[in-house]
Amino acid sequence: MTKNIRNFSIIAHIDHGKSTLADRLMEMTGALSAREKRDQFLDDMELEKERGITIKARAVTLPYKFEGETYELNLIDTPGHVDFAYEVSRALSSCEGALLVVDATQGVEAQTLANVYMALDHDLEIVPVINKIDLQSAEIERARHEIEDIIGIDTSDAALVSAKTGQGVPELLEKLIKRVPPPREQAPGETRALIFDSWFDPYLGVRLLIRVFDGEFKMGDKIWLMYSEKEYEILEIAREMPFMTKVPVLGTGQVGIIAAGIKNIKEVRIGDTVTLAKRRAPEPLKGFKHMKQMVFCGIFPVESSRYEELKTAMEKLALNDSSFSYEQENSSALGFGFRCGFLGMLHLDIVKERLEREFDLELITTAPSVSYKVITAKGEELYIQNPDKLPPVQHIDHIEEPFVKIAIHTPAEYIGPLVKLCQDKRGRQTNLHYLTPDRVMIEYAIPLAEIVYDFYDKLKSISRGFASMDYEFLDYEVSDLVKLDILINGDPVDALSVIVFKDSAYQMGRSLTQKMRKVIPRQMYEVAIQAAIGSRVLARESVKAFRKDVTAKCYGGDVTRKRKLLEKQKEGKKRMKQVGMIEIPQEAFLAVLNAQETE
Amino acid sequence: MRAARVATGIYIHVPFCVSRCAYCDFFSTVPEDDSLKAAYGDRVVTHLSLELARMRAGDLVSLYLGGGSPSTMPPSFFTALGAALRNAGIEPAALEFTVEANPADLSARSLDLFAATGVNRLSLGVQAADDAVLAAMGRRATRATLKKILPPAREKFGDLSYDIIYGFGKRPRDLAAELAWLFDLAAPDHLSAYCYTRPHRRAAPPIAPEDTAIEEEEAIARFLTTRRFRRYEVSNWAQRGLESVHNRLYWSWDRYIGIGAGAHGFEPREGIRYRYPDSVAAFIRRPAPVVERLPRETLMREFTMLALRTAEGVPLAKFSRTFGISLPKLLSPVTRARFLDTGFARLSATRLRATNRGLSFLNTLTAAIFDDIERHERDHAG
Repeated sequence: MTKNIRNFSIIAHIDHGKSTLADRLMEMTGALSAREKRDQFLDDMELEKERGITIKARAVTLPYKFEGETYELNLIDTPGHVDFAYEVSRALSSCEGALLVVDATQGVEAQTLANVYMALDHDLEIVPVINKIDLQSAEIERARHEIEDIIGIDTSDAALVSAKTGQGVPELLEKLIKRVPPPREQAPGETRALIFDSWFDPYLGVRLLIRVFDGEFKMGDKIWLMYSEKEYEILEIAREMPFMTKVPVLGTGQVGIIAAGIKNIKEVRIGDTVTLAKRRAPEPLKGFKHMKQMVFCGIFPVESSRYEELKTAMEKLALNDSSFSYEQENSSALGFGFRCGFLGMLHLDIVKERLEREFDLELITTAPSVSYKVITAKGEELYIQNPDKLPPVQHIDHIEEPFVKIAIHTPAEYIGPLVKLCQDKRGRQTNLHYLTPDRVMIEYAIPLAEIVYDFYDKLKSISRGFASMDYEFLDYEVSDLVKLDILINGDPVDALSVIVFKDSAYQMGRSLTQKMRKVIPRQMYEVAIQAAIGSRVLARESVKAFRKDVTAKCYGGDVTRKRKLLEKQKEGKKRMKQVGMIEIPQEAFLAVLNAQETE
Repeated sequence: MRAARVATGIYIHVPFCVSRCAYCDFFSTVPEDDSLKAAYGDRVVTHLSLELARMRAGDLVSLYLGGGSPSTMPPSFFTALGAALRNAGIEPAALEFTVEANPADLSARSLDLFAATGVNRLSLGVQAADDAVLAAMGRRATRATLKKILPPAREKFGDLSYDIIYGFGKRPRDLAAELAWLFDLAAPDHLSAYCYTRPHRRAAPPIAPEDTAIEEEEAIARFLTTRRFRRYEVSNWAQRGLESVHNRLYWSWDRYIGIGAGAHGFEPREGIRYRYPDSVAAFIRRPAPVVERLPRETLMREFTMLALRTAEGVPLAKFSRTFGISLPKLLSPVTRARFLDTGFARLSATRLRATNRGLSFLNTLTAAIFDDIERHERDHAG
């Protein structure tokens, strides 16, 4: 029986009160006692708290008594960034409803839209929630209008709450129960659940966060993962209530966590369907996609001697993140390190930051690259994720680059500049249509390489935050691409090479060298920076040598101050990599990310 | 058996000036009446007697009065100081006994007073021999002052040192000519040539362009070499055998005792540095130093940083005796390639030293060795 189950998620812009509302729901349903509560209960990763984002999905079960019945409210917390769009879609497809939280002092913010549209695509019942009504500056009517105008949802039944004070939260719970439909009943004879997240537990192996759609899963059941085609046995079933609580069974409509002795997280795919090994479902649940790594970069320890530590850290991190991959790479400039693959730039950032923080490593990352397909003169097909590994020109028949389909939702007033942005990025318009009189969806086929760096930021700044985007891999297309080398004092530095569109190579070479001149500090020698294609130099800049770097006085009273000064100087060099006689800072390796801006 | 002699210096800080100079970053005040100076002088002499009583007389190798301007202290202070030394059984002639002085404060009488106290080394803040530059520095002395006071100072003191500042201000200077004029007037035995470091004050005069500063430095070096001076530290030059005993204590990890507001002291055996707060009133009331016991890694850094400033460089045997490890062993291949293979530094069986060229990049070299020390200590921790 599913009639007393409600599966829902919360959609909100950063700072509009998602975490606070979640905290309050846990408290008011009695799931968390006053003693147990702490702020941002669900975002328990340090990085999540700091950035105000959710990286891993969670599902918290809150029992709640209402009108004499006990309901089971399952709050499914999802990440919210475009890099994780696929995970979000799987989490949303595990819900029947969503609370759309809008800050009454801010109104509807753009970032929310992508997830609202996704929720609507999954036919979720959306309950509008206007939050922060306790604040002086709250404009409830304005928030209502914006929800109606921009999103097109009726707000006559919107919940008015203050997540901070708890005002209106009991009424919200009532609306949630009355408006969000219960999960559908089991399809006869079938047993199926959707995996919408997973992580590694050192004692039980990989844990799967699942939503049961049909039938039930019990301890000891032999299960079958339909896409991975692997069989396991359920060793433990648990639910977060909100603390981890073991349960014997998960039935239709319920969410929970299972452990099945899975040792390698790569065997688990988000969106896969779990069924029983003996009575396999004929069809998996809809919507499975292979998660595709979009961005690649080299990660190296600043100190080469710490390679082994980095390796251990990568292994540990990969245990918990099936969408991150790494393989050993050797750079003549940077020594031993790894070529790593990510879902997108935010994912890259998060991995790098976690490596540095949780494992106390200082790292140099090279410019992000996409995966190019190279057809050699002999007809072989190579996938190149590291620009330096591009074969010599004479061995290449042609190069193809990945194109994506990008869908941009925007208020109509920003069409002009957004179209220009897409054109500038070598995009090809495939569709443009009005969703409402003032909301437009623009679709482009565009090289992935052009959107991974700063496209998202540009889109946001052009549309003052109101446009949202989503993209998916389309195909490889032939492109006129060249490898642009950067030479430092005459020697090419492998880790600085980039693959660029031929027509913009000259411009790119100039702006890259200019940018590097600004970020490479003066040193004991002059530093000559050249950009070249093969032996043809396109641009040259130089950093003059400094001639003197010594403190004039150092007597008894100066020792401490002087030492601290030098320690600071040393710390300033932490992010620098010694390449031959020259120290190159991290920013130089990433100069390509915002090279255009220096023009 | 008697313990080995612990070469010790005493530094007394006199934080008073007649007026503040534009370039100066030391702790100093311009007191309104002499009673404060008298009270401070009394406290300093009392404290000195205490320190002398605590040490073996034979250990003291140097007494140094710095500032500020010690030459502004009243005669009674110098008389009391002399008496304190005699009472402790110390023969001033056996020490290097230095007083810093501003030429503008000096007279035949004050020179006599210093000599009578036992001072045998006079360190004069000449700074420049160009009236426009002296004015820009906020100095009261002019060439006329120097002309009057340098020759008698030269006559009175066996050991005479001048401080010179270069790399100062925007106007071009002929440092060789300034030095020639000074040496003709009264040739010193020792000279400290400091590249101007602009204090963090809005009104502080600007530094010279880097190229100008380097030309001036080269002019100074050429001139001093012709006068048979040797650069024995980044900014210090002397005729052989006349290097400052006191300055060397700082760089060679020896013991020095600080006395006075803003004075610093160091106990190498315990790895302790201490300093008295920059407050004249506090020192008069009760001298209470701020003491810091430094961790081993910090001590290793300081040892290297200080010794590298000298022409002799880091004595390897003393380093391994002090820290139980060999300095060459902790140098990384990168440091060796950047500094040793390129002639910025040299490593012999006994010393690691910066070459003349390397002294210009000493901060870069030292920071690299700091890094090597940190790596070594981390890899060998526990």
